[in-house]
Amino acid sequence: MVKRALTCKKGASSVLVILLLLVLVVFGVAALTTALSGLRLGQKVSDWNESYYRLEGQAARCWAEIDAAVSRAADTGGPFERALEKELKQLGFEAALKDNAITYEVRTGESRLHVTLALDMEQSPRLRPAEWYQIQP
Amino acid sequence: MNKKGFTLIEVLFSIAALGIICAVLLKLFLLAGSTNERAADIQDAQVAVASTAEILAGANSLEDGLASLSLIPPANGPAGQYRLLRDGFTVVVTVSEEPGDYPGTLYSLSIDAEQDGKKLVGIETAKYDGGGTDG
Repeated sequence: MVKRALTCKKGASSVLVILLLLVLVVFGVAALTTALSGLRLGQKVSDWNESYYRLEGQAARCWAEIDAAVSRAADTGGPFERALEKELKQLGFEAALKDNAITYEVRTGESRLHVTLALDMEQSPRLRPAEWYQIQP
Repeated sequence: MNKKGFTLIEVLFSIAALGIICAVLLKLFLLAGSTNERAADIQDAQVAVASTAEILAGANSLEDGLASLSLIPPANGPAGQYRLLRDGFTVVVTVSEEPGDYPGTLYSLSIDAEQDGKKLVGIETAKYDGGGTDG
């Protein structure tokens, strides 16, 4: 029976055609899966970028608030550092003054952006971004 | 050896069956191709948006950033909508001034990449042009 099935030529072309179609189906599904993975990856990168630039926007808004606080502290006429610490405490977010640098963090979802603004006291107080990096969860 | 061959009906039936299967397969490959094309478009649009955002963020002032992109802001300030062609996409930059009592100026930026009038990707961010600070 087995020997007959192996030596019989009937249906050989059908078997070849079916095998060829199967190979084509496998290639088609593989190509589609790869393409869908690429699309999902692209959308994910797009989401990450969107989230990063939203964080940057928040950091810029905080920078503006801190700049206003520095300006108010400089206008008080009293000891600048104490006045600035008092002003920073009144902000709607946590900002710490240490060694002529102001550090704060902004966050959306699980990702955070850590910012350090250097405080240059040579003539009038000036802020300069010193560190600006993202912390991934 | 059997030399009778197939009847016309058998040949026509097998051609029709193979045609249907091949049409389905062709559709599968075309779908994979169009999906690949869309993924590539999204990635390229993302690069166009991110590079525009970096040029604006890295410039000393927003006006300088817009000038680096060959965009001329109106005399009353950089707020407004700008369109530029970048990497085959239309990049729409919308700048508006955020209200607030700051020594400098805080701008909110919206940067979108469009293709054939359809938005592919976009970001929202802000830039602070410091008054007493180095922007």
